[in-house]
Amino acid sequence: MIRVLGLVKRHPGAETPVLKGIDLSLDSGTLAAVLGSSGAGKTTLLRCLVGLETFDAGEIEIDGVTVRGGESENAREKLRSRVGLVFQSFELFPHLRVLDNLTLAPVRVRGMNRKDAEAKGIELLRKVGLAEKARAFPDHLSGGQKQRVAIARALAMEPKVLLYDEPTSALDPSLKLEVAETLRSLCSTGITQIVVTHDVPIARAACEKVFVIDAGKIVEEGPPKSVLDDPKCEATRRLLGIQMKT
Amino acid sequence: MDGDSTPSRGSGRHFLLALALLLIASSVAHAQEDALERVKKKGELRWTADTSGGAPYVFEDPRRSGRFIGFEADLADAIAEKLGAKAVLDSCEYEQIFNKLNRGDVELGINGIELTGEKKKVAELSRPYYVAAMRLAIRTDQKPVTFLEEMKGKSIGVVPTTLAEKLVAEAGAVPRPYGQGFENVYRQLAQGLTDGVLTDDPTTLYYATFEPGVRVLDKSFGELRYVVACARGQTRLCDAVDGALDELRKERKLRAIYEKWGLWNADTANLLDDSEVRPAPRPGFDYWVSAVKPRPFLERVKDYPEHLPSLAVGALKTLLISLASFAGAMCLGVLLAISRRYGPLPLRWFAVVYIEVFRGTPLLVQLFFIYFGLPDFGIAVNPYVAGILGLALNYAAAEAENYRAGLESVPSGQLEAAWALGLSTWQAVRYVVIPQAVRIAIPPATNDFIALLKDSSLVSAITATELLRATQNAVTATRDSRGFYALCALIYLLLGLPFSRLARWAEQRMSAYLRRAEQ
Repeated sequence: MIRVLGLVKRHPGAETPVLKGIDLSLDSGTLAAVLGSSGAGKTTLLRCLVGLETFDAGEIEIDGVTVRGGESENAREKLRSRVGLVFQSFELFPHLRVLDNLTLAPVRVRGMNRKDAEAKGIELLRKVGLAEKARAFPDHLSGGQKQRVAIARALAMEPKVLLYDEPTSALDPSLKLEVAETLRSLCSTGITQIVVTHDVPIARAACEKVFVIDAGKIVEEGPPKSVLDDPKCEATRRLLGIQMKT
Repeated sequence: MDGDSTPSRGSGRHFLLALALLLIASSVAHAQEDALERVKKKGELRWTADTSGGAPYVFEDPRRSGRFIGFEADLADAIAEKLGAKAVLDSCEYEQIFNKLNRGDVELGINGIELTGEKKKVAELSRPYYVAAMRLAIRTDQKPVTFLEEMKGKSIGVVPTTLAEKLVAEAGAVPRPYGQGFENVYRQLAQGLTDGVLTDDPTTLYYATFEPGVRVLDKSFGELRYVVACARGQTRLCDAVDGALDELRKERKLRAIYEKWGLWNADTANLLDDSEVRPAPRPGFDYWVSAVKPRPFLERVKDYPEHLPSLAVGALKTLLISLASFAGAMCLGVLLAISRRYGPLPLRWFAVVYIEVFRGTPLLVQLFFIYFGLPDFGIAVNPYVAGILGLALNYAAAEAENYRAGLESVPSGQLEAAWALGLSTWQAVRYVVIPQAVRIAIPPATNDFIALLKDSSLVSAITATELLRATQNAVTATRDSRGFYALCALIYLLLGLPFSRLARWAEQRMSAYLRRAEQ
């Protein structure tokens, strides 16, 4: 379960807040998309959810843990252990082999025994179809492979929620379907996934629920069919490239 | 995981060792302990002199490297025997003798120290043991002078901080403090670089008489009484030295020493209530003459192997000093760089101030401060520890800047990715940022090490007998500046060569890594 209530975030020195009271709630195991054009606040929302960013008011509740606006670093660290993030640029650790990328956090944070961590890492790599790359360095992987390693790395910490920042932007258009398949295949594990993107086709192809964010507010939400095929508000139409009738 | 180690992990132990040594050394140094008690208890009398000051005072045996001889070495042995101890020489530069005494490194300074009112203020001085005359050496083509004032405006070589320096200045001439070894001072005179040299007659006898084109004027320009110096406040030891000198006088042992070295003169005879000058065999002087008489280059080269062992020991010490101090510099540099980039505000400020101070002041000044200044705060360490500490503290600042550049080269997304995985900031820096930063920082660090290796020669100035000082001793012993300084330079080059190869290899690996990362 993930619930966001009245989330307000103002960057230091900025006139208007980036997030002006976000409300959002999702059941466990849902695959959802947060759609928005650039500057709408979607990346900031995602960074707040994963605990990389402070926020001024409101609260975030994930898996029974609640963090309120203005709370310290320590409080946000509780989010980090429950939320995984797949970065837009993947941010694999280039000095570590693929398998070591996966075992670093379980060994150092969870205190897991290295053997178990490696067995689990191999298992995860098999799941994303990259078991044979365990000993490779990230620089030797293609973009799509890097992304799947990044997903496996996040899963190694067994997060309740997994966030994706623009998962399709760094990839070949031909790989988009592959990404959608990967995301859908994870639904069966019961993990909640949120894709933050401005890429409408991926949301349509993969997600069960869509939120449209504009100027720091959720303006529309619902199943992709209803939101994307029958947009109610202007921001959604703009996103879909539909000209407003005057 | 193969990338999760920093290169400084192993070397950190050496730094801790140096630190431990420092603490031990500082805890055993008691500046105010009674020196005479210590001599009796330990059975050793530690004394100091400038071995590069040359013959006939204390100098390296021209034929036996590593052994120090001279009339003051004989005198030290004789005094030590009277005190029931064994004399142990710990050499330093002439100007540093009083510092060395007062910081408690040694009990006695015996090095042609003149009895003057100024010196009485900084140390306890014994009764005089020798009277020397000040002699002026000039070129044979110059007109002899009777008064120093006739040398007005001319430059005259002198030993710094001696009476001669003062007299020259008072006469309106320009004192030229000598650098290394007396043979150079007279050579400079012969070459016309200076117009005279004013020193004590033991020195003129052992050096000026061998320099072609130089002659020593008969006139005495002043009388000097040599005394033994003890640290300020050590009056019991000073009285004991007086007693020993008086016994040696009565037993005519002082006279025997002076005669051996050809130094017996009327004034000293007068001082010691002894008979007039008479010709006597002078085996010490003859030994010197036979060892240093001018010989063709090829023949001198034959003596080089004799000095190689002490140069090799010096080179080894230089290498160890450099490795230990660089290990320390790396550890401290990493801490400073991390403090500056990731630390809380006070720590960040500390790092900034530290780096500015240590980069903005001369290394030599830092070394002097550590070695001669810290004893005032009760921290007295031996010259090697002081040298390692000084080099480490100084180079830590340079390394910190180097590592900071490395840390800054790692994209901030890497740190965030580590945070998002649940790693603490420290873990993220330790396992993700540092291993990547190290690859950027290693090539410049290797170059820094070579710079440190060369800068370690400055440690000779705080009396550590590393490569440069070993070379200076050999030069004094053989009067061969040209050969030994060239040899010394060659040894520094050879010591640094493996590391510059390493630096080039690391740079190539690094650029290959960067190319790979760009793809």
